[in-house]
Amino acid sequence: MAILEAAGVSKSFGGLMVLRGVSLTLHEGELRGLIGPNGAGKTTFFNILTGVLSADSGRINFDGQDIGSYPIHQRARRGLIRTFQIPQPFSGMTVLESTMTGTHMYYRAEVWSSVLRTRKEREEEEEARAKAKEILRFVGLADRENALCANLPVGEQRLLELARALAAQPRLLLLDEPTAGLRASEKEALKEVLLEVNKKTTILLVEHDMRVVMSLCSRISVLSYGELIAEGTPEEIQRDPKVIQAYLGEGAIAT
Amino acid sequence: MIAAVLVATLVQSRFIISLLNYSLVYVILALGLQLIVGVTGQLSLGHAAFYGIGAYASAIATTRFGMPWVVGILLAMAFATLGSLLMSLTVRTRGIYFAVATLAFGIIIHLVFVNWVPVTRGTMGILGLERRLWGQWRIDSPQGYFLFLAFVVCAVYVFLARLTDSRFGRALKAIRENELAAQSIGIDVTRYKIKSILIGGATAGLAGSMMAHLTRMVTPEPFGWWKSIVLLIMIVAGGLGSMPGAAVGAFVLTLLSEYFRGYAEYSMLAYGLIIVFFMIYLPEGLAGLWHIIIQKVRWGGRRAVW
Repeated sequence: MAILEAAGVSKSFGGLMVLRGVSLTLHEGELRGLIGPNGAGKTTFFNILTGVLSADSGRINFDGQDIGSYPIHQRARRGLIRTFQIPQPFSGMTVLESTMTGTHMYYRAEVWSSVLRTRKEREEEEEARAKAKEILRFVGLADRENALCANLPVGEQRLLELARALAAQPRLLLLDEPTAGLRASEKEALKEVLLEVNKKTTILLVEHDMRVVMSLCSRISVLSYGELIAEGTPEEIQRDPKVIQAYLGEGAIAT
Repeated sequence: MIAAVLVATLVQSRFIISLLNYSLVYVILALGLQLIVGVTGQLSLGHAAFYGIGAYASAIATTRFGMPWVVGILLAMAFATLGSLLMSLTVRTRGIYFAVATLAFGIIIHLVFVNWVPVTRGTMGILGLERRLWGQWRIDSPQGYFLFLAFVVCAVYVFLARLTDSRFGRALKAIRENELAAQSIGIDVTRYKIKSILIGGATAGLAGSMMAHLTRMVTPEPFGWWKSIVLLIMIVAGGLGSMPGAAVGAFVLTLLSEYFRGYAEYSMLAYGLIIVFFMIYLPEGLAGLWHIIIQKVRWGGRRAVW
């Protein structure tokens, strides 16, 4: 069943066409890769899917609903959760607090129940804390619980992003270059984590590291100059002349 | 609270008690502003407006309509909340634009106090406020007032400290740290900003009522935009984001400024110097200083073991 259907999504900034009628369908349980040379429009596409930007034209269906006009937080509430290419940490919070914040939409406590510390509120907090700890153990940040988010090194910042997103229990997880700036060993560890996440969650992965994409994804879509030029299994993509041309330039096939 | 009871029974000097009373009112103000500025990260320069609205609402209710003070307090909070609802229309503007909008809002409200003579009596002010709490129950001694105020401060503190340390508070802090990331995990940023401003405004209204009945009169003068700035200085000195910091900052700075009242014309200069000092040496305010001391002590302890 299709969980996400983007149809004919176009976007231009001034005179620059960044996306030209991109159509992409994701099926439940997929781990789809989205690749393309720099400036192909991958991050813009993400921003349109999540509501940071609005498309000039085109339609976005999520779980059978047209979400094209929804603000960011309402898309998130339907299970469309993302991480950012440049980590966007809650710098002044601890790692645990940040991850607990990720569980926000699953609880109800507002002003009075928080102030009166009702039994329901205390149970919710306990549960949120337990969930956050479990997720931190899962991504491998358990020993950093009480560290300030701002003080984590790049690699752990990426895990922190992922932990916060997972705490929001995504139905579709959009990952924008989660392995950028990671060491080889960290990449391997993250791959394991993502495969495990994929058992329950559909993932759309933007990634520059071809080895990561090729080994993780069952299907790959390729964007180039705002157009979807190819879609298929990793083997098909690697052989596709249009893809090779997009990455290596005109004449690359001949030589 | 226990400390307050002790102070009230031990300290006989009217001057010192009234000094403490003033300080406690400012503590309420600073706590409310801390929620908006320090916790939610929305730089409001209009806090004094709600303080004034509360003072006038309470004064008018008790003098002109002869209502008991309890009703005055409730009306003060209600009207201040309404006022903040009006200001929260500007909440979609960000950063400097929000700050300027709230500054303008504060200035406008102050002008209303000065010029809406039929209601506020302009610069003549409203005089002769009573402290008839309910029925025949009155609080006339400074000590009694101090105890009442200390109780209110404790209530506000517990309210805001618990609020900050909860799911609600985490959402506010998330907005302060990163609005985009907050939205991306399903937090309705606009709604939480508005709630934060309303709660902060209501506490300012409460403080307004407290101050009005402390001085037994209300004039427009204390509710100008510069008062908003002074409050901001208090929470910066105390430590942005920290409720205990706001309380201590407001308490200490008010005591100092009242004590040096004879040099009032230099007060803005002094505030300026204080801000510069804290920005350079203690960017996390008194709350930060406290953390440093605790760390030093722990360090010392560990060394002693060696």
